[in-house]
Amino acid sequence: MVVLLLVTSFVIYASLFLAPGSPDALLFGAHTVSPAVRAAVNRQYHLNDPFLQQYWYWLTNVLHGNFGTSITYRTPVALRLTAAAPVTAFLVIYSSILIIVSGVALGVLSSLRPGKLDTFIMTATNVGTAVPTFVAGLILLAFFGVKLNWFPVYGAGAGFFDRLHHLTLPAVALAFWAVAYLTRVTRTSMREELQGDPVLTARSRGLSRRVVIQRHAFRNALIPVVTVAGLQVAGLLAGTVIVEQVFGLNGLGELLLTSVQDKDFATVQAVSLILVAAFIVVNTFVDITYTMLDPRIRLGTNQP
Amino acid sequence: MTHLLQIENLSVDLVVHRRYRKVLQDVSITVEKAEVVSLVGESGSGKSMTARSVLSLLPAQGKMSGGIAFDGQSLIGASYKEWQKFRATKAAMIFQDPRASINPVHRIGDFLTEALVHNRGMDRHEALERAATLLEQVGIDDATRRLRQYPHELSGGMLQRVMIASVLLIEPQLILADEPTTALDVTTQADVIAVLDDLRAQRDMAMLFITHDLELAAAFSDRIAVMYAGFIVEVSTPAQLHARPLHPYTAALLHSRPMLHERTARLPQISGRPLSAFEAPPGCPFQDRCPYVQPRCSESMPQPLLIAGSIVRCHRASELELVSTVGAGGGQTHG
Amino acid sequence: MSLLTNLTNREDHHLLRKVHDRIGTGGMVAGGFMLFLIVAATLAPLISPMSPNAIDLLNVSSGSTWLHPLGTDNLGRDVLSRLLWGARPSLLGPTLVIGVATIIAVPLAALAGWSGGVIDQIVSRFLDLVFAFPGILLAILAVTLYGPGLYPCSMALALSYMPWIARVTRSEILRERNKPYIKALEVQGLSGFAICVRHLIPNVSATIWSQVTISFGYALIDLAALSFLGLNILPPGSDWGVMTNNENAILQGDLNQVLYPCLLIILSVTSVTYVGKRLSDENTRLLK
Repeated sequence: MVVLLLVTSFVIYASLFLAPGSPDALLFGAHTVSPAVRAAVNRQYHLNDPFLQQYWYWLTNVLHGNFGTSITYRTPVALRLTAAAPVTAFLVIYSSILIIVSGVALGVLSSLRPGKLDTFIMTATNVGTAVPTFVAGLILLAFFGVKLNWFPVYGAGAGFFDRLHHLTLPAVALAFWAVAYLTRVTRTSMREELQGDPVLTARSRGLSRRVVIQRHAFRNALIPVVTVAGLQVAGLLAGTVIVEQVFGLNGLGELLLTSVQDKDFATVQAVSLILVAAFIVVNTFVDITYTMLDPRIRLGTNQP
Repeated sequence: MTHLLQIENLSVDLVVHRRYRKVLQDVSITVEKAEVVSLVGESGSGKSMTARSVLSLLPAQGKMSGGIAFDGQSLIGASYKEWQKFRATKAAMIFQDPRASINPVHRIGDFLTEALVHNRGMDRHEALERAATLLEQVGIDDATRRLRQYPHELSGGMLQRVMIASVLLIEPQLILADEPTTALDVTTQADVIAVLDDLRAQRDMAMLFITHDLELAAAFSDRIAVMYAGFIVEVSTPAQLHARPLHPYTAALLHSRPMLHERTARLPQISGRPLSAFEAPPGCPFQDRCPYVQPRCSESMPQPLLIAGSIVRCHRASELELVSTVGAGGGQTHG
Repeated sequence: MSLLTNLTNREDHHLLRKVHDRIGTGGMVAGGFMLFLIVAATLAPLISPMSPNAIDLLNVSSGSTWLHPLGTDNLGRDVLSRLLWGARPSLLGPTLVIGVATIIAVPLAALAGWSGGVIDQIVSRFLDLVFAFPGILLAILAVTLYGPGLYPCSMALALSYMPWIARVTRSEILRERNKPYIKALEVQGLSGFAICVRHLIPNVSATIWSQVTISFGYALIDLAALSFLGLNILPPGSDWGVMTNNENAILQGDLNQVLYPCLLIILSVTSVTYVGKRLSDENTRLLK
């Protein structure tokens, strides 16, 4: 994981050097600056040093929580990050809970009730997986926000409950696609387990339906479900860019987008790094959960 | 007289490729207390489905008709709860492939004790202690350590012993063993069977033993039922089966096995391929492969006949003089 | 109905039957819908009732009329015409993304799957690395460097979709390469390249096709989202994503103009993924 983090940070840093034109031209954009200022900036960004050394400076600074200074706003990037991060974190966690709880619940329900309910859920999720996050957002906004006026249509709110209220529609929009997908995965996995040998064995021993389903079908079906859920949750980070735009939230995604429009490279780098790092961390977490759920891939166990 | 298990005119239909297909037809067999009855047949002959029917464990949408009674009590039409109770206390099943059947995500100890804990409300520690004792009896040493291990850490032979222990733990009156050694190495097969039969006999448990291996069945069964295409074609004792097989299929099975003390140039085969019940033509299902076939064989399925203590379903059973070895008779089978 | 029977009675009867066998009636309907969209997009200049950018401030946000079958947007532009013209970048974009992704992914996967060992390790780690960058994020990075537009967005998405196609192809090639007929070809002295090009890749192409079809739907979603964010197609150019970016209309409760492009996105993605899933189900069925 550490290696992957290092490499991705390098890619993000280096990618800005792929841009056409010299780095200082990028930094200054259309501004005309005096040679003295240019030299000072060059010194500040170590632009005259070899590339690898520049990367090293940047990386060590990042590890100390110093993401550089936003050229456009002349404020430390770290400050802007700490202002934006809580909204995004709240949104992602809220959405993850929605995804995992409703995706798994709907999938299990669908697998246990073949027939009309199953067909209905499957049709709904089939269409659901085709609904882009921003479309879901717009529809929710139009219906529950504007028409019914149940939820606020703008801003992130202050305090826990106000924020919960403000972020409900964004979280649902963000979760929408993933719930549909996870439902399908859970259902397939459950159905496979329900027809599998361990369930037959459990049934042959006269265990109650509840025990058979919980201990054998569901427990085993969870293994692929966790992997997919992890990918979904990790993927949410990119989705926040869209949802924050739809609902006018000042989170990391919004920050990324405005920084792109302002050509504020230090901020773009920082936010990209955080999003990718979070993705990698979530994935690692999933790998750990996965090994906990499946003893067969647990390492270091002694053989007979 | 009441039999421990009585199956009467059992027919089973399963959904295969969205159509109902017959897999068992008119199967009747009994198992007495502490008796071992073997069901022998090729794959697809319906022997496993017979065992699964006894526990009402048919695949989804399976249909079952006929009679199943245990200890004089009919099980047909029993509720889900009643079946559950029956499975939990009276009859237990040993499956073919322990690696697939034992849930890989739970520890051996959990697997062994779950029935006791969840069905009987036994204290977990007490259940584990019992499990440990039984593990030693089925020939697994270091039992306390094994209880904490996961299935993938044990060999196939050990896992099948675990499966046997799990069945013995709930002290059923009837064990249904569905090819318990097929998935194992040849060298461990004999050990596992011996352990199973010993412990079963000590506890006076009856067993319905399913196998495709006629020799194995003959070695420790009280009676053998031979199945073909969803029908039971012959029921007999091992000795009598050897001395005088009544059904041409049984005779052919006996011919096509290798022998240690005799050298044959080539093992005789049964021509054609084994059929499933739904593929069988009207009349006797064996007619296309039978060397003694007559026109009436395609007209009706022969009814069970009682000949010299054996039950056989063949129109010509009383007139044919079948023998079990190649040298003595010959000519019954096509090369 | 009569159209369907006409079609099936024609000479290409056999082709249609074959397609029907693989994707079923639902797949035929879904595929037919996509075909219809492609034709409509191609013929947009001929069939759209007016110019997609003709502003008519006297007739804004109107409902359905004879002149404007789907109404007008808040600048008085004809929604139907905008949908037809917008179909072009909306469908061309994903084609570009998946086309480029496949062209990179398949040779890479063949190389990894065939060579195994160190090369396989390197390729797989590289795929993991690319995998760590969400497509939208890569596109945003690309836009930062090269400015907004279809090309930076498509190329960035192509890169991010590449591992999905490559992983599936690689595992399929690994499975296929251990089969006896491949060994037989090796013994006959065919070069690895020839075996890959003439036998391996064609034999796993069914899997590649289903993965490509499914990815197409997701790429369509991502590109529409990027347009919505103002990073892909820029006004006055327009695709379905751009058309949905009309917060004013939504806040005023005027949904018509936003709903139609949303509906088209959902319908086309559903159709494409349905066909893709049918193809992959069919593959698993054939494997059994």
